[in-house]
Amino acid sequence: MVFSTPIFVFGFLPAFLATYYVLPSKARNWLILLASTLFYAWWRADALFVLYAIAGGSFLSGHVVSRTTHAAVKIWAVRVGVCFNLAVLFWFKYTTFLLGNLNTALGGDALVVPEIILPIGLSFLAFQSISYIVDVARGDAPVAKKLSDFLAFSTLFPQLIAGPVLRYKDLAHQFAHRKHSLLLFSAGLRRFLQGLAMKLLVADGVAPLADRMFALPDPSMAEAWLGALAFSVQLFFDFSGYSSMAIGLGLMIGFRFPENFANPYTSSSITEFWRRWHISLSTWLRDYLYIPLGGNRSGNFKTYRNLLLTMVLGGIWHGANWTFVIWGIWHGGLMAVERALVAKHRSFAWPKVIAWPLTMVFVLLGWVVFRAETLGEAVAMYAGMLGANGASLRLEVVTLTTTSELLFLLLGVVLSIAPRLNLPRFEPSPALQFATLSILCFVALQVRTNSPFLYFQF
Amino acid sequence: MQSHSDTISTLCIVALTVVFSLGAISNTHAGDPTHGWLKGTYQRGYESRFERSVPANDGAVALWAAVKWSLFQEMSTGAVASKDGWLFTAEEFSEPGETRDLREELARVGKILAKYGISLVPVIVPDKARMHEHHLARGRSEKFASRYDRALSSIKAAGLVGVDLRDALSFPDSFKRTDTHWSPEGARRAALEIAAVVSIYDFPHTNVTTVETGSVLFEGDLIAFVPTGQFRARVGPPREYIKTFETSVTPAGDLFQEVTIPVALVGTSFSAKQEFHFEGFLKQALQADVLNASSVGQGPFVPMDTFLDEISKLSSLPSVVVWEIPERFLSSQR
Repeated sequence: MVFSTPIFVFGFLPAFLATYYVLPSKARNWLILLASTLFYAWWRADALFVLYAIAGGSFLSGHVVSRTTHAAVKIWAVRVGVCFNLAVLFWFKYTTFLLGNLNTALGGDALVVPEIILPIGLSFLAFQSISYIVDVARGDAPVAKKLSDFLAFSTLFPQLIAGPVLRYKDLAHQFAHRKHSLLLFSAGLRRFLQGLAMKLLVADGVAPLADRMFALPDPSMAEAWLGALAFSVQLFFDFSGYSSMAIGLGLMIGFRFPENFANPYTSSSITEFWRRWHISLSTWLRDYLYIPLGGNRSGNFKTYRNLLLTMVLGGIWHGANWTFVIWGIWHGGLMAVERALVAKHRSFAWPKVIAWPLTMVFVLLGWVVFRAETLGEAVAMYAGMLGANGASLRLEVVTLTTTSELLFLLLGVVLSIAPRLNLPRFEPSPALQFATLSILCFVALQVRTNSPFLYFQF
Repeated sequence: MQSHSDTISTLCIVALTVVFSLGAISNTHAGDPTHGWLKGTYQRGYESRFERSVPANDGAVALWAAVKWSLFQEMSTGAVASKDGWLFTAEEFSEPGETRDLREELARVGKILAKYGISLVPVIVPDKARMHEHHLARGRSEKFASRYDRALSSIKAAGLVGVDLRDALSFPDSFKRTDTHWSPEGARRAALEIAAVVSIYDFPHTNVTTVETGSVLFEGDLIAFVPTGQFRARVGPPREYIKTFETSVTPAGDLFQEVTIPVALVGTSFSAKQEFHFEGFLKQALQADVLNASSVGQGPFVPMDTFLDEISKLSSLPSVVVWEIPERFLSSQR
């Protein structure tokens, strides 16, 4: 089920919240589990098997890890649990890609490539489950005492499909004790509406523009840069909007989820960008990949290698496509370069005057290969950006580009970089914000009926 | 500290959501939940019924469309509005999603038809944006501007006789203002132009008469991209009318003589949609009966594939096949 649909806003959510607040506290976690099951099954019920296999397997692994007194058993329980999660993820996400590439390498179609449907949200679930097993083994997280609570955590519908990537240790106590109040509920509702507006108005408002530019076989310089800019705004407002909705939904039922974005488009380096973009993923990658690989503890070369490896694996996590590998190399490589520059002689990686615009250019260039469906498409866009197909917008592109697309693009850009612009603060009363956002979201909700979140595909 | 206005606004939103929720849930037919739930088909069905049941759904859609139309003369993705209230499909400004190489297709189809002794007459219907360029705020780039000439060259290179419809459709109302397609008058003039070319082939003629029967309100296909609903009378787009026609064919020969239809028409909605009456005008112009094998929504290539697949089942073969191909289905790249 998608948050920005009438079935969720006018069907699932009111029914869930009404039941939640009618039930006694003890029954609420069970209701969350039941509702999350229905929420996930709304996509297709047979995928529940995968969901519960991963959650159940991870619970079992954590249970063994916490109970055993033998170090060897503990290590093997962790290995088996992590490998189980990775194996499921690999099978569903990478089998087709791997076999397809093997066939290409072998110059034929000797290997049968099965049609595998990737269960939505699997990548997020696998990462959450791995962090649980590892944290329990490290003694960083309490072991889940009740299977029902762990299943409710694993399937928690506000964040089930596209994060934030939660850790059990951050939420365990919230499953036992949560505060509920009208104040929290109002704050949650407002946050949800903000996220809904980000998604329905800005992200969906510029999406057609980005789609059209990326569909051009030979984009000009202006078209390619316009497409990259539009996609940058679309992706940020789509994913950040989703995260806001998840955080708001959590608040409505007493959960406090960590923030997932902190003005990423104001960053002055790629390193800073990753402290502000998809924070739950970047901290996961740091804690469970970069640091176990050695982090920055074993000299410069290994630090650069670890940065590159971490970002490449982070790229592959997004999808089974060479485009994500290149995107990971791009970001990992830039982080390594920035690390080298900082280590060498200064506190900033890039000269202060150009640091922000340069970083934004890096980010935009990265989004091109991230958005492109194939490497060929990405190369075509890059060629366009360099002016290989002329500089100006062609007449058809101007005709098809609407005023509202440009207005939403401008709004998105301004909001994204607002902290850098020192704009006069305009803060209408919460009640007015509430009313305006509600009306706009209600109308947009009816119009934009088919707009899944970009991160659902991961 | 929760202010009173915060509390009131929260409660108002909750109350409104509950009202909409109860309205939508009570108006949505549950369907049969025992079928399709495993793969999600039941869920998709329920969801689309639910969306239509949300109170004020139509009003919200109409309001959104009316605001965009009033402020920016803007339509939904898929169509563009230009000067004087003229609407155009976006397909005439972008590469076709699925296309085939025209030269190869003409060679393939011509060869198959030739085996049956049938002549092929391809007809490229020029874009509305080409014939009504003066209604566009901006023109189109060279690739699109030269597409029609390239298509005619492909026809010539395939050794076929083509029809250039540009002169025939060069008059103010050759296309409908709110529709992708030609007007009945445009269809009539196109039919005359085609008949002039097809008449080089020998086929039996019959008596055909066409009469104008009146005029009715016309809802162009592009109106779907600006669903202003109840606000349309105030904000537009303005309505338009279309003339209606009837064509009658007097069977030739004896009552028990085998019926032969000498010309087949294969094509798209330009030929298949009754309101433009192209089939009738073609019969009138040819003074011959026409087998219409056109279909809506499949482009020009699929109907021809279907026709070729079923040609052997025809009781009598036509002498000529007119293949109507809208320009927008051809690539501008070659």
